[in-house]
Amino acid sequence: MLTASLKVRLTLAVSVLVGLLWLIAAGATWLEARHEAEELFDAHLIQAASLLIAQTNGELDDEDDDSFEESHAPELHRYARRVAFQVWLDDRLRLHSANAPDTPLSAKREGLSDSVVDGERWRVFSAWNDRRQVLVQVGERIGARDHMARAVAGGLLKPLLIALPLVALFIWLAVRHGVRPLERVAAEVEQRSPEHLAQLPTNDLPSEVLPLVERLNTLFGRVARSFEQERRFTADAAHELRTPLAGLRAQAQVALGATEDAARRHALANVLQGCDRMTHLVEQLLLLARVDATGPGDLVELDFAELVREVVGQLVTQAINKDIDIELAAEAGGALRGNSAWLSILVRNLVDNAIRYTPRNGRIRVVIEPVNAAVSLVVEDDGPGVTEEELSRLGQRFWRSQESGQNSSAAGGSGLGLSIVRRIAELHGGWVKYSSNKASPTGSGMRIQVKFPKNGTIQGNESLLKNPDALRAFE
Amino acid sequence: MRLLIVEDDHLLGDAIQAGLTQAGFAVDWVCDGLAAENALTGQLGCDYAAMVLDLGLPRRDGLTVLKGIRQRGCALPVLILTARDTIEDRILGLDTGADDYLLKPFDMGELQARLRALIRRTEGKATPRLEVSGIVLDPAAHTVSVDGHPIDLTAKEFALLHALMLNTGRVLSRQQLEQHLYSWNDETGSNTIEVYVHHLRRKLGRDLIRNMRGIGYLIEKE
Repeated sequence: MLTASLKVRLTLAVSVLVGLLWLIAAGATWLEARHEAEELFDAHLIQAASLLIAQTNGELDDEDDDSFEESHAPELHRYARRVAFQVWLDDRLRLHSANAPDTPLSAKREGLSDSVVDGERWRVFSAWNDRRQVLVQVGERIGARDHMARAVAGGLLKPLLIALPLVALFIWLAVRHGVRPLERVAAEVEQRSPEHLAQLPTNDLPSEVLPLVERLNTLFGRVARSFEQERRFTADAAHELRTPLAGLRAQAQVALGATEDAARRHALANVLQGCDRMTHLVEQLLLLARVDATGPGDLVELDFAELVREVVGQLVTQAINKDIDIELAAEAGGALRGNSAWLSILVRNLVDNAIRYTPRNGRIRVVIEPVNAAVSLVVEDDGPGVTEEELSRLGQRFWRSQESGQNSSAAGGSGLGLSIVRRIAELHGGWVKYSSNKASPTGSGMRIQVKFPKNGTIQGNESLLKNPDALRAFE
Repeated sequence: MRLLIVEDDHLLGDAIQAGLTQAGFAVDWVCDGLAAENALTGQLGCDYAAMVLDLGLPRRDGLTVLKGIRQRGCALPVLILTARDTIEDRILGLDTGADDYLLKPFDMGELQARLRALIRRTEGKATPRLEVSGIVLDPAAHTVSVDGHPIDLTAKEFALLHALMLNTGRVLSRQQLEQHLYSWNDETGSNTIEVYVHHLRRKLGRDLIRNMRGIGYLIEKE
């Protein structure tokens, strides 16, 4: 897991880079130092040679040729061993340093040259006096030059050995300091319980970490909202299930305690009605759970108008019982891709809702028509409708119109019908729009429109719902 | 005993009304918070012996209704009957001013008993049984006996006797007695109270209920 740690990775990378740069610098310095040392030493050799020539010129002039004996120059310092010289007069060695051999230092008798004498490498400068009588050769062990260049480069390398660990340590500390905000965020997230979904603090965060924390906060927000929704749904479901159960139980007890036959029959009839209501509620709950859990299933090309005609046909008796007039207007071109089972449930819920909430002798109109690339289904009634404020709450789970008050629970609505309609519409990439039916003969009523894209943009519906522009394209 | 029921569920409200009527209460039933406030601020006002209040109500929430009547200083005993079962909800309900808290689904017998207990405590009595001059009235068992012999009474006769025995030594006007006996749905004749008093006198003895002409009726303290 070494490479997985940012700290280790950064420290290693930077340390290796620094070490390499340092080595390259030392190598370059070594080369440069050698070159400079060569020039310097060559200059010394040349200078020493010219001094010797000037010296010997005078001496040779003064003395008799024969009295000039071969002689050693004294060794003044141990460093002198690195340098040697020879003075030749007419090819006879006349003067030389103590460490100089008897043979010429170099075969080349003019200028600079490298040579090997007694197994050692020498740098030699040879020069003649004006009359080409005296040859001076000054040599220096090449090893001395190498030694110097190495000393200069070594001087650079030694601090590296001490500095590199220090540099690595410093980098480690800097990196650790740099990633501390990340670790802080990690620790903060780690110690959270699943229920703790408060936002993470975003102050003092480096700009690289900020987007991560902001995305985390967005996620936390979404999860918290869905938790809250779940919690509210559970609380609502508890209420919606307990109340009719309490009603059933109470009605049964009333029937048991009733002394008059009429009262008992009334209570028992209520028990039956309550059972029907509970059945409807439980069925709707299960349906909603199924729509929530499953996808749209198999999609087939179907005639939507035919499907609506069939469903409305099944509900006609219910409408006739309330003397409600149902009108179906289906234009051609109602073909779309969809799941016929789900779509039947959607239509049944809408029409059933309309029949439940429309008073006796009311009118319901069901219209199917193609609109651009979509199929539109409109169900409108001339019942009491809902207020403008209530329009926005339609489709919330378990919500029933309050204005219709006692009327709504008497109508036996579960408060789930429009939730189911909306969910099925979403599965088909469609959407639901609620409005007041002010154009109706009574001046009030509900108008619910569902629009489906003909090609059934399935699965893309999430993005469609979150992107209002995409929705507008349908209108 | 006249009760106000606030319950938006049609089936449940109907059952509570029927069940409490069986127990001898006169029951008014309203379906939303606003109607409850209207009933409480109307002519009858705090004449109700107790209120059964649902919390999740249309138009005005049950707790808001409760807060309102307590702010007006009305001491009406209130029993909250709700599906909200969390401890927090119960604490909030009781602290807002409720006297009792019952969860749905509930037993009709328990609801009746709790209401009787609430009313009994408001009347300042600890024992559930009322006793005057050898006549014993048991509100829970719905029985009346004279010197140990059980007497058969109709629901209205029982309610009238109950009201008078709860207020021994106090004169109750005919109007007050009618409020104890009848809910809004009942048809009241002009001389029905007189009829019931007559029946009670026949069954329990002439001297029990005294008629204060032009004022009302009373049962004297022993």
